Amino acid sequence: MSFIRVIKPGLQSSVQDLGRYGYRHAGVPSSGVFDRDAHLLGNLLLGNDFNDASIEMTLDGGSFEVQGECWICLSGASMPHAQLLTDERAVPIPHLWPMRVEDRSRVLIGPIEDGMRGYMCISGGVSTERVLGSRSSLVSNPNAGLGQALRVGDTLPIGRFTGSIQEGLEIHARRASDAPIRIVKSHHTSQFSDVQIQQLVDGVFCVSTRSNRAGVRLDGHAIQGTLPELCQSVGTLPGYIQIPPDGNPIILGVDGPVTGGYPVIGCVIDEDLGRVAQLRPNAKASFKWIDRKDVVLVSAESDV
Amino acid sequence: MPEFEIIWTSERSVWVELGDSLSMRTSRAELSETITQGSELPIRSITPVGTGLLIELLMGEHDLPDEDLISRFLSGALSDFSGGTPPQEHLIRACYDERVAPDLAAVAEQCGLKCEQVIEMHQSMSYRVDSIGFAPGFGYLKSLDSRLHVPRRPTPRTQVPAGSIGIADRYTAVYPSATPGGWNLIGRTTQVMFDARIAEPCVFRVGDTVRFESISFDEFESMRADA
Repeated sequence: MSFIRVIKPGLQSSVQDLGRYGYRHAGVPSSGVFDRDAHLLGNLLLGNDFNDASIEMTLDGGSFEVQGECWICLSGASMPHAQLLTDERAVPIPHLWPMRVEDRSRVLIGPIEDGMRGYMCISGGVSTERVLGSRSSLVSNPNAGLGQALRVGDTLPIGRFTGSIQEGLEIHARRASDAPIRIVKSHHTSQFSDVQIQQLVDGVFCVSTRSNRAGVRLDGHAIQGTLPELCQSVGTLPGYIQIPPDGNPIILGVDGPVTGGYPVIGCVIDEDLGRVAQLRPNAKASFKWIDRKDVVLVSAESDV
Repeated sequence: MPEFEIIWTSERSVWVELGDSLSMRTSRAELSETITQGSELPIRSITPVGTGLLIELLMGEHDLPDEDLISRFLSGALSDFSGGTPPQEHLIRACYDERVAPDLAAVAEQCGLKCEQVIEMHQSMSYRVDSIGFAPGFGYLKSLDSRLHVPRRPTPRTQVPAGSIGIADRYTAVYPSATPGGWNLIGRTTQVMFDARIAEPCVFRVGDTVRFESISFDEFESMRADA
């Protein structure tokens, strides 16, 4: 069996698959990769199953030693300084390009640029023990027994690889863009004033340094005026935009709480959640209202 | 047939507001399971909270159902729903000794009560699990005696020990694991509220009832040693 040993975990790295579902009633968020498209693309290029766990890294990717052999593929935000160190020979690791890694080689990721989160997918996937059906780590709550951020010396088993590597496919990564994040109406939209609903899309927000996998906080353009008062908490999902009493929006992330007492003005569409995951501290962000029915095909027939 | 209102909360989720149309004796948790199991809808998750349910629909290859379809399906599920097993009752053995109740004296002072009165009021009530959120297994228990309503602490603690019993506004709760937290801590239990290693990890289900029973510090210590 092959392993990955964590030499340096970077700023905040964790094992994630597509998430833990079926436990929201017990207060358990889904967790899972924040930028799903990036994870899927990396796994696709390796010939992995889509749910095979990858390592999600934040702003600084750290370094790892491979014991045994495997292939890796980097995806998500760019990691321009990433290199593979074998017998004192350093080779750059291109983005979205499967690389063969030999026994005792080191993978040095370094700074993550042009986005917030990079992914290292591994042939066979990271094969840590599943808890409640998933290998995802609830980074926001390290004492709940649902995983935590990687630490120096952690040794991660790699799963048996049965796929086939997709070599020579040139895929161009999605670039970070300034286009507004698309949002639809949500639980309390109708309880906000028309002016407040407009304020949300008129301003340019600044991403707070206090953002994490539980929530991306936006400063610089607080929603003004009296906010709706809730008589009870509501269920919440990743992408929900809460307005706390100070008026500064919080976009809930994949580790976000499953209930909340703040009014929800809107919700980021599923397709754009990966863009929220890539918002760096101090980056600019803006929103655009769209109609729910323009996002999905709506069917009146039950064919499911 | 119970009435309900559907609110779209994103392109992939709806809130089903049941209001008072279902008896409080009905387990919201069980209702969620019934809806999930009999699912003609592509459901990814259901979160019961207070008087409603948040239903997250599966995106992907499916076209998302429209409101009429969801409505028809829910009507069917609700009218078939028998209520089955009644909500469970839980007893929490709580130590209110000041060594594990750092805010008890301050709460008593804010409420113009003696510490003994706060303890008596806290354990005299039967609480209902209104929702489970904030952290895995963290149940919001209502209704706290109105004489004990105090706001959250102005600055949350960076780490609250697991098992801490807190009060804030209309609620009381037990912290299932060590987390940052802003509630006023008036006691502690050694009982495990959430265990990720078992299939149904949370002791509480929404709709269950909970009572607290005072134990001495010595009893608490010996239970802690056994745990």
